Amino acid sequence: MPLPLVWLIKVVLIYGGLITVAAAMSLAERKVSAWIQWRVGPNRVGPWGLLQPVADGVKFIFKEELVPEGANQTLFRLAPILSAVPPMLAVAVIPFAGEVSIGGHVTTLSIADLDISTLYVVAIGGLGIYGVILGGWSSNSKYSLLGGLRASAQMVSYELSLLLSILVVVVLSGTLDLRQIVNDQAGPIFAWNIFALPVGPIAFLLFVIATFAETNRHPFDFAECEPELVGGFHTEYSSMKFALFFLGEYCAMTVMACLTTVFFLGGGNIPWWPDAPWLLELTCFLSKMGFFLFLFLWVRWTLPRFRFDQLMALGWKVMLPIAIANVFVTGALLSLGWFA
Amino acid sequence: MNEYIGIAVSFLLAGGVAGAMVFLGSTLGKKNPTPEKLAPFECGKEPFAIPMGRLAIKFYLTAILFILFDVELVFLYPWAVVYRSLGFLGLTEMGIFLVVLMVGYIYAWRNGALDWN
Amino acid sequence: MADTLFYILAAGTLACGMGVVTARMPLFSVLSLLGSLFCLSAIYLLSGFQFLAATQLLVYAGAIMVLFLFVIMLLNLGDEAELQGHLGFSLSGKKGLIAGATALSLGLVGVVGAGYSTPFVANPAYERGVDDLNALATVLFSRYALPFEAASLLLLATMIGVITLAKRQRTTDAGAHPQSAPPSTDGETAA
Repeated sequence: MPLPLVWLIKVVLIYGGLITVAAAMSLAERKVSAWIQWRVGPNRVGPWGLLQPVADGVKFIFKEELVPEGANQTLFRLAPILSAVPPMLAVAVIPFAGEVSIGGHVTTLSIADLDISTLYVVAIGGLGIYGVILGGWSSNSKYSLLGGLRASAQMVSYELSLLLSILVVVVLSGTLDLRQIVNDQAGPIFAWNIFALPVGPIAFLLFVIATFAETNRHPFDFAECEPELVGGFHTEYSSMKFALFFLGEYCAMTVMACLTTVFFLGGGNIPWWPDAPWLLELTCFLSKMGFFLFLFLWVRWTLPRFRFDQLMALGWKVMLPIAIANVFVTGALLSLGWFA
Repeated sequence: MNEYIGIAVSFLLAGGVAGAMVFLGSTLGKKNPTPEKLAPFECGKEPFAIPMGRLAIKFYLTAILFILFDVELVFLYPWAVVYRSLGFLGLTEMGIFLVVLMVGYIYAWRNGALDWN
Repeated sequence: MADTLFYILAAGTLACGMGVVTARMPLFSVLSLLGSLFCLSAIYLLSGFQFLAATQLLVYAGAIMVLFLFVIMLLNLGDEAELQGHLGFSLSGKKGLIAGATALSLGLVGVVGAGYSTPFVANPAYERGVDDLNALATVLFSRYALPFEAASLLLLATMIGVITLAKRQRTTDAGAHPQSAPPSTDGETAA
């Protein structure tokens, strides 16, 4: 089997998987909320409503597309693309499992293994902000504009805490390569970065909170804060463009769940079994990822929404100083030989 | 270097899928616009203000503080990678760097730059 | 292969750069600049400077351009009538002069440069499998430790400057009602 074909298989597998997860999330969002609120949720299309995402997708294509009066046509169409592409690109470097054999070629189960994949993920993922700003601005609606601006201010504020909590992991592993970070956590469960006491759990907590803010999810969903801003930056969006914003959001959530797994929970590593077969590793990775995806939904129906000034205060006045101190303490403990 | 070909392929694929979705939505969907449908959403009232006012300064302040801390992080990442070989000297260097930055942070806090009201 | 890619990316960088000057709406200028930065980052990558490429995206595309967008919205540049138009680029007046002069000088550089052309060379360290980040970091935190510490002072000065300017703005127009605020040059100066 020629090498380009092997690559093509990996690309199709990983992107097919991503789209499937995003579609499943659109169903899970409704199923889980129904379950938590003692309702049934979608149950008409297919067994247990399983084909609902397919029906939604087809329906979205044939819905009427509205471009509000006075909106900027080009930017209005560009914004959903700009919000969906970055998280899809970020998935390319996630190391889902160790070495696999496809058609006689031993390769790794990720589209690209970069030396600087950590920076790549955060740099590319950070570009998702343009879709939100431009979507809000080009709609010619004040709800959209305010939603987009709030969301972008929130995303930049929490990106700092996100980057600083990743930094703890980078100091511990001494590399920016996600695959090496995963390999570094092989062995007993205490090798996972979340158990690198005392800084690991703090970094983990900061990271998870920041991922909620970065993906504009509850309790930080000011981008689409219904009581105040209707639908936020996508108030004016309909048909497939609306669906693209959601695809982008679910892809971003998937990327964040993957990153939490990679940075703090040892990626695909199974505790005390470093040489597990790749299929088991992949299953392990996906179940950890699935837990964090479920956490997004669980939190949504458990916690009330913040107020915007509280959100900014939490980001700038609480999380940022703790995160900076945490990095410094990590460095100090490391040079004292604490993590040996 | 070859690894980046994978990234380029992903870029084309993701852009293609997203572009195709927008294109399909705008061509296959039915078209029946009316002035009411095209008006920006306004809870049933007449839209009364075009949202083109000037923004409050706080958005701008947040963005520029973000840039400053982002630049700081760009220094921190290489430091974190080679930290083990730098040892105690690296810790001192970064300690001084962070203390100077924290002076700015405290100044920002004291002057209300971190408040949202 | 690398040569062809380089020329494509260089052309893309220049085309986007022209877009910055000629775009009718300031927002399209920002987007063109974003495209230009993106192509530039790909050129860095092609030359084997991965860290530089990622930094370019993280700081310029991810942070500074966001500020530019905010500033454009803050100052509300651009005509409302123009807002409704499609993607438009114009080449009239001063803009045309600047764009033409730039294109002409770049063309001259290209023609003259072609005489001395050498094949595109990637970062030799990268070819040897040494990644640039380690090399950069090792030098930065030993030989260039003093300039590195000086950078923190620069950041501190910027932070204080920005806050001072913003505070003055806040006391003059009370910040809360942006619609009624008189145009002020403070934002521009700080940008």
